[in-house]
Amino acid sequence: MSAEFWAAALTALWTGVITSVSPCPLATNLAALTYISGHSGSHRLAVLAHGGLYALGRALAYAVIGFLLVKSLLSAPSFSFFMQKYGGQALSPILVLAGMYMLGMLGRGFAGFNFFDPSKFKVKAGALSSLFMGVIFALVFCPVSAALYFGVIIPLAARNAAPFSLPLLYGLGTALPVIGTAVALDLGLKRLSAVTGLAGKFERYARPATGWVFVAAGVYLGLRDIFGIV
Amino acid sequence: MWRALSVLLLSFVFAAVYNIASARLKTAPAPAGAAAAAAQQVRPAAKPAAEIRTAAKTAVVYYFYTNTRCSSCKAIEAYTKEAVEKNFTAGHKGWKVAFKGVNVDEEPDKHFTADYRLNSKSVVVQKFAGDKALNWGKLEKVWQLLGDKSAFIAYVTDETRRLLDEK
Repeated sequence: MSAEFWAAALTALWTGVITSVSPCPLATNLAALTYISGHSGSHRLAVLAHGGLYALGRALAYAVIGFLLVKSLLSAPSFSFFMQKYGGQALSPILVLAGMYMLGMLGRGFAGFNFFDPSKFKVKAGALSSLFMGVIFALVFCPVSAALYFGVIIPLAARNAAPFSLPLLYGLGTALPVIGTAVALDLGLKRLSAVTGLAGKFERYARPATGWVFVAAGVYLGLRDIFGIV
Repeated sequence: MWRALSVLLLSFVFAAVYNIASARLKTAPAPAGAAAAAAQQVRPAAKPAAEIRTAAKTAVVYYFYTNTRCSSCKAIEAYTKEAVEKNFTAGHKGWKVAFKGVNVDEEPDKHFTADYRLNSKSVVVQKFAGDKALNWGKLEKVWQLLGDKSAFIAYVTDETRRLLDEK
């Protein structure tokens, strides 16, 4: 690997971090953060594992899109504007319904959003939900993520003949601030539990808190991208 | 209370889905005949603002946006406008420079997306000799410099001057 490739790899990772800390993806970042943090205490490494899966989901989504774009199987301008316009719009009702499900608003018999059920993380089958969430959230392009991904990462990937690896690193970068915050929160909560003896308290409130954050994020995206109010 | 909240949120979801569906129907492609007629009226790749079209050497610093606005997008527009008004009021080596905001979601201006291969809200400098479009440049770093207003303005100014100095 040449020095130029390593420089490009570092640029891709750092651009991902920059994207993630900009104000626009805040709604989805907060939803992901509460969702991942909701597993604090369920297992020693649960937060890290689900953070990793979330990052992998984001990375895979960007890598697949990057590959299709660099191989000219997709038109960057039309795909970018389509995803910016409809990504947030489509996610809004999904987030509200998923949040309502977590809060038990959809009735006891309703099982359509089991995929978003944090309690399922305690069994192996639920692990896919973090990966799935990463893929979905990556597809919601904000103006800043679209500008940096399509304007910086894709040309960089094409120039370095790395249509898969550089978008993949960008995707990992976009997840790093969320994972870092979730892990720090997890360590803090564990320490707090050890000191105060309130182990298990957080878990009891994690599910409704995640549900409310999902509802809030969904309503915010709807007001912004569908109704144009905020 | 809980039930009322559930009904309210479900109403929001239905209203959101209805809005998306009706917006999609409104923007569905026109019939083939209408599309062919429209194709004959396609505007040239890029035109300067009418008021400066008569000048021999002109440049337009475009800010392209969509119906969905955001605080960062508004900042890019304001900084770019400020850069042009602050540094190009007297022009540059015989070039008259103007700022123009264009909504690419509006029907007559949709072609700019393909013309300049836009991916997001963007700043593009386009040179003209009279009505004839010359070379242009997309200012890719505007999103990266957004956090530093003075660096942003310096970047827009330098890139515009560089493009104007090019043959």
